[in-house]
Amino acid sequence: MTEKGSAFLDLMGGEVFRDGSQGVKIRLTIEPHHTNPRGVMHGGVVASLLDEAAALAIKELLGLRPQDSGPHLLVEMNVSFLAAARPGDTLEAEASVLRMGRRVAFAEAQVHRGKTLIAKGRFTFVMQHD
Amino acid sequence: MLCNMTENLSQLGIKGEAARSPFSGFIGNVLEERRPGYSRLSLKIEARHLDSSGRLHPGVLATMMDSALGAALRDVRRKDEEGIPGGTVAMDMMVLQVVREGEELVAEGRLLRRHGALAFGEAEVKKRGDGTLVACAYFVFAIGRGSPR
Repeated sequence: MTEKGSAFLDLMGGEVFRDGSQGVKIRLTIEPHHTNPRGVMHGGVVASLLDEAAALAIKELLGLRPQDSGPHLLVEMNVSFLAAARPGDTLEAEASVLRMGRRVAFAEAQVHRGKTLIAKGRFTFVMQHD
Repeated sequence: MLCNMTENLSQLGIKGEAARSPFSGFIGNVLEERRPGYSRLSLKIEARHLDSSGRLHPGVLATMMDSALGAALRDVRRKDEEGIPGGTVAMDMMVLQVVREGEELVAEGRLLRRHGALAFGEAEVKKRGDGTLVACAYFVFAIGRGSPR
């Protein structure tokens, strides 16, 4: 079952889905327009997948739907790019919340191609409650 | 390090950012200036760049800065490294300001040091006009082979 993500995820062609395990995941098949000048996946693509997955994990914990607006605002992102991906590769991103405080939340996310870890990210969000 | 020479992009044969970097061009980045170790690009924020809260998606900022630094590093490679795969190895990004649809952003990327197969760089994104700092980042790129020159 797929669900709607952000406008930018839609632009990239990613889809939000649940596979029966806990939480939501994102899937994206790399196409030529996702590449950098050297023909491999652009770093911005994987950073976007990681960020979207982290945001979805926070919303899930808050009982919000993927398309809902959330109270989280990214302030810091750290990404390690561990392996390349090329057109035709299908990637999956998932994330978990490390700690959810009233003012700050921490999350980590990873992107896999099959069993190969492509990238890992850690995120700090400020929580804006009305 | 940085060179003061500004190259005319049309003389370089650049026909749009998509021809240089497909994903950078796909999101709408416009390369405005490039010289060895430096580049500047811009992007007008549209609805397609937003997250579910109606703010700019952080992935767009990461893409702008990664693209700016990638362009800055193009002329840093040696001729014998042209065919060697490379790309971003690590990125540390901070976001300081919310951006909304209709605003125009400018990203600059600068080489800090090349050491062997690695290049270290920094990038920042500011709002066009008032120059408000939106985001900044440090990057490590794999760009070639060999020992430090």
